[in-house]
Parts: sequence; structure tokens; C-alpha cells
Amino acid sequence: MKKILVFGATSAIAQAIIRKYAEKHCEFLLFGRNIEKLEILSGDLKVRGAKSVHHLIVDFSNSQSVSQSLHNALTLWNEWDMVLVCHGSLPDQEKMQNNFQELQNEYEVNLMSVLQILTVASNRLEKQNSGHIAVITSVAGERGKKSNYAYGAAKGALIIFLQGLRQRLQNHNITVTDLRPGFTDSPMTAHLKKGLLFSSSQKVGELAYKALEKKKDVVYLPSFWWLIMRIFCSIPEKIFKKLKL
Amino acid sequence: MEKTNFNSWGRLSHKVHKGYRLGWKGEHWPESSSYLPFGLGRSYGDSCLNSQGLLLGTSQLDHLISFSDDTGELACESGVSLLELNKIFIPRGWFIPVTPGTQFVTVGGAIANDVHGKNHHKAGTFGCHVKAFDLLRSGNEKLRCSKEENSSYYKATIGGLGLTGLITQATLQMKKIKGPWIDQEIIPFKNLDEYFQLAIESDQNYEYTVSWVDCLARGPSLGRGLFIRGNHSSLASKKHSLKQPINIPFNFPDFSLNSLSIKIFNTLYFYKTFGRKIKNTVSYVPFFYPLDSLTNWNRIYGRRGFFQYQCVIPMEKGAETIRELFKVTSHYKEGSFLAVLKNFGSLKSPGIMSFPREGMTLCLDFPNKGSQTKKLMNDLDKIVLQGGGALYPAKDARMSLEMFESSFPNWREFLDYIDPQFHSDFWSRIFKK
Repeated sequence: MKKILVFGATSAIAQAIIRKYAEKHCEFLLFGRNIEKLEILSGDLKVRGAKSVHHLIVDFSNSQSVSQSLHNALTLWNEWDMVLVCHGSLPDQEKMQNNFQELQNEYEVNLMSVLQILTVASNRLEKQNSGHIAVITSVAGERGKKSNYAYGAAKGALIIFLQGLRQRLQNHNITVTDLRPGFTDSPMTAHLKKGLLFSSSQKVGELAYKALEKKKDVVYLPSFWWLIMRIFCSIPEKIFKKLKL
Repeated sequence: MEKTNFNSWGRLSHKVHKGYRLGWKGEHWPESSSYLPFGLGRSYGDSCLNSQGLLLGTSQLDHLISFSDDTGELACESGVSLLELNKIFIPRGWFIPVTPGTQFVTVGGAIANDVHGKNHHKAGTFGCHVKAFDLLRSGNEKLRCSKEENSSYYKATIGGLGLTGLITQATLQMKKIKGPWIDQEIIPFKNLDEYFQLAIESDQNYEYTVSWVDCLARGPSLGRGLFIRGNHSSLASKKHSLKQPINIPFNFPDFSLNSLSIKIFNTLYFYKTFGRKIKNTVSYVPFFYPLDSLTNWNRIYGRRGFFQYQCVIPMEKGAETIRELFKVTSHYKEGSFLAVLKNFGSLKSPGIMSFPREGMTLCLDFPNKGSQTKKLMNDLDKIVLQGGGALYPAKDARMSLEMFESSFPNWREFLDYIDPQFHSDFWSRIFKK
């Protein structure tokens, strides 16, 4: 049975993905901020069929905490089958424009902690010559717009990092999947008005699971976002900069 | 806070219904003047709406807590859907003890409306199989409720329409089954007398019974229909797979359901067995949930929405009252394709506000045509009152205080258990608040 590490396990999309793996009797090591939520989720996965579930608290804004949890993961399991990185926060763009500290904190969570995890995970998987890395990015990482470019830039950096990592690891029998959701109805977006383009986190999770099973490189969730982004990215900058987005 | 398009299944309300989706049972609720839990919105009228305050969406309160393969006892959060329970537990040989006609219902909603199913004559209501639940009240008071502990809250919450507080988790007794298959028989009956006979015969030897009635048929064919009965099959070898439902993507135009189209549908449906008895083995999905194969089937009724009307009439007056109800419905030519008739058994629910009780239950649906439709239902009310019957709040969008009082003689006792901060549009309509 697969041994799966899940960072940001209590996020809505992560829950939907790993419930599918629980039905396949996988083993889990869950990381999250809130112990009560982790306990509830652990119980849920066990009833759904997980062979074993461990959970650990981590503060993604603190690199020492992340480093400690990676150390624990290395000692718990000497073989990792899948590393799923799902944590992230959607910061208030305006707040970060006026406060660099705020921006830096967000980058710790949305970018630096992920790079830290990927560094350890890629070396571990490379050594064992097998495994699967999957990271939730965002369509916001493809083009900057004034309403959320700080968040977008962090996700954009991740997208490029994953591209390089994929090339590096492809000869080692390792898949690197970029799970790229569009607008998702989840607690992270609870304050936003929901339009037609929103998908439920349940649906996004199920599509992500299918893509992971097919060992895809990059997948848009749902797939219609591929077309939207191709159009979005082809607008000349001269026009784009004047758009209210 | 989310502004959402929460609505009930009949889609009769055009107000904005604000909601907040809870992800975790310990989560703090946003400030509001009043609250009402909202599961999957399958109540037809306004019993699941609270336009004056906030809806607490429970669909992500969907974690399982524990399950014993020895006893079949399941503990889960209240937002878990029956769809999810069926997907997980039917392959393991366990089934929900009572199921309504759709899987898109949460455990919390099933308790709050004390739902019933095709096995009411054998198993009673959903509430009969709820061993315990946790009730979270607006003052952050948490009550563990069962027959032994806080039993008056237990009895008030089963069928309590979500007004006693938020059910956060529940413990259910699941039922052992051999597999996902049902041995089914479909028997046409030419009139109501044949139905009454079939119902008495079938309720003894069949765990599940229900019938569909052509409510537009008149004269000697008044009350003709198809009687459906079944038992769990011991067939285990055949491979079982779930089909993807088809989505109804938009509202049908209002004229698409008219007396002619419904008449054609009902006649074709009545003759689908070519007047013969059918005996076969089918999956649990088409047997229990025929309409779940059409996602958003309520859009067929158009933009104006539709009413459901479900009553139960005590056995003594059942036959004559049901006959009267069909006479009025067919006279108005207003019936539709979901007329369902079933006999409820004598097993009592623990809920003091529970709708199902021994007798005959009839469920009708009517496209919303304004005053004409309301007049028809008012006429039906008079017949139901005469027969000593009751109406079902989960399906109601228009019953009067008089109907409510006579349907639920315990309602005064119930008032003591309502959470002071919980409120529904149904409640304010009945009591004109």
C-alpha cells in the first residue's frame, strides 16, 4: 500500500484527494496547523479504509518547524511513495502592498515552505528511484494581475520550480504533478462572491485524484481552465495592463 | 461571510439566503440574529430556509468518526450524505436502515425531518435507528442526546426541523445486507381498490413497498398505478457499477408541464410494463433513487418552481379520504408525475414532531401556477382535516396554522426545546412572526 505524506492535509481539496486514497487502503502521514482538525481527519480516513494514519503539527510560516516535521517524516518512513503539497493561503493583496512584513510572511507559507519540502522530498525520492510529487499551484500563477499578483507570483515561481524539478527527476522514475486549480469554492475563498467559473473543492479533489492516478505532469482543474488561460495569456500586455481584473 | 444561492428544492423563494459553510464541528459561527442548519437543500418548501438570519451549511461537516463491522454501529458528522454512506458501506455489506427517495440528503437533515422510506411498515422512520447525537446550541452548550441522556431534547430534535440547535454528529445503527441488489416486482393496478388489496398483501412479505399513481386518471380508473415491492437479493456475484447522473442544465419553459404533457407522460408510464407484472433483480440505485439519475430535475418545473403536497391519513378513514383526494386532483387536472402512495406501519418514532404515523400517505407535486394551485391545495386540506390527517413540513410551503396544529398535536410541548437563536422561514410563516 502507498505511503503518502500530505502537507496542508486539512485543506478542502486535500481532504477530497486523500479520501480517494483512503479507499485504496493507503498509509498517511498528515501535516497541518490544527491538531483538532487533524484528529477528525485521521478518524475519517481510518473509517474510509486507510491502513494507518499519523499526523503532525507544523507551522508553515516557520522554517524550523517545517524542517523538524521533515526530519520526523524521514525517521518514520524510509520509503515515500507520494508527497502531496496542498497548503497555502490567499492573502489580502492590498494589505501586502503597504506592509512588506506581511508579504514576507505570505511567501514563507505559499513559497518558501514548499521549496523546503520539495528539496528534501526530491532528494529522498531520487535516492529510492521512485515516487510521486504533487503540488497544488494555481492559474493565478500564470499571469500577474493587480487584484492578486503577490499570491500569483508565489504560485508562478512554484510552477517554474516544478518544471525544472520534473526534468531533473524524470530519469529516476519520479512523476512531478502540477495540480493547477481555477476558482475553487473552499474555505480559502469563503469571502469571495461565487460566479459561474467556481468549482466545488470536492470536484476539484476528485479530478486531481484521477490526474494523479494517470501520472500527469500538469493538469488544470477542471480542464476548461486550460482554454481560459490560453486566451488570458495571449492578450497583449499593452491591452492587458488597462484591464480591470 | 458568503452570499450564496441557497434555496430549497421547490425553488419557490426568490429572496437572498445568506449562508456560511461550516468545515469543522468546533468552528465558530459568524455573528447573526438567527441561525438554521442547511444540509443539501432537499426540503421542498421553506423549512430549510432562514431569510432573516444565517444558514449554517453542513455539507462539509462530512467526516466519519467510527464504524464497527461487528455491530454495524456508525458514528459520523451530520453533513455526511446518504450518497457517501451508500458508496462506502454497501460494498462492505451494510445499508442505511431507512432511506428516502434521494441520496442527496445529509444525516442531520434525515434526523431533523425524521424521514421515511419504502420500509416504513417494517422499520419505522430514520429517527428510530438514531442511537445518539450531539446537539450544539447557540450559547455554545453541547448536549449529548439519546433515549437515556437529555431524552427530551432527543425526542424534540428528531423531526424538530433544525430548530432545536445544530446536530454536529450522530450515531446510527446500520443494517446488514447481502449485496447491492434488490429483487423487485412491479404490478399494475387498475384502481384504488386493487391498490388497497395489494398493499395489505405485500406489506407482510416485502420489506420495501411503494406505488406510483396516475393522478389524472378518472372514473373507473381513478387511482390506477404501479405497485413496486422488493426485498434485498442474495445475488452477490454480479458486478455492480455506479452510473453517472445526467444533469438538467437549465430551467424548462413554464409551459412544458401542462395537463396534456403530464397526461401523456402518466399514460405512457402506466403502460411501461404493458399491463403485465414484472419481476427482476435491479441495483439499489434505480430501486430507491430513480430521480437521482437526473441531477437538478427540479428545473423541469420551470422558473416558477413547484409545490409538493404530502399527507398521511389514519387507516380507518384512509381509503375513502385518499379516493376523495384523487377525485379533487383529477378534477383540477393539476396533478403531475410524482404521485406516490404508501401505507405507513405502526412503529412509532421517538420524535414528538415526527410526521410519519400509521396510515396511508399520499404525495403529490404541482407546478407553481399561483392562486389556482393554492386553491387546489386548500381544497385538499379540507379533505385531509376531515380524515384526521397530517401534512409533512419538509414538503410544505403553504400550510396554515390550523393545519399545522392539527397535524402536530405536540407542538406546544416542542416550543420548550427550540433554541432561542434558531429560526426558519417555515416557522415564521406558520406563526406569522
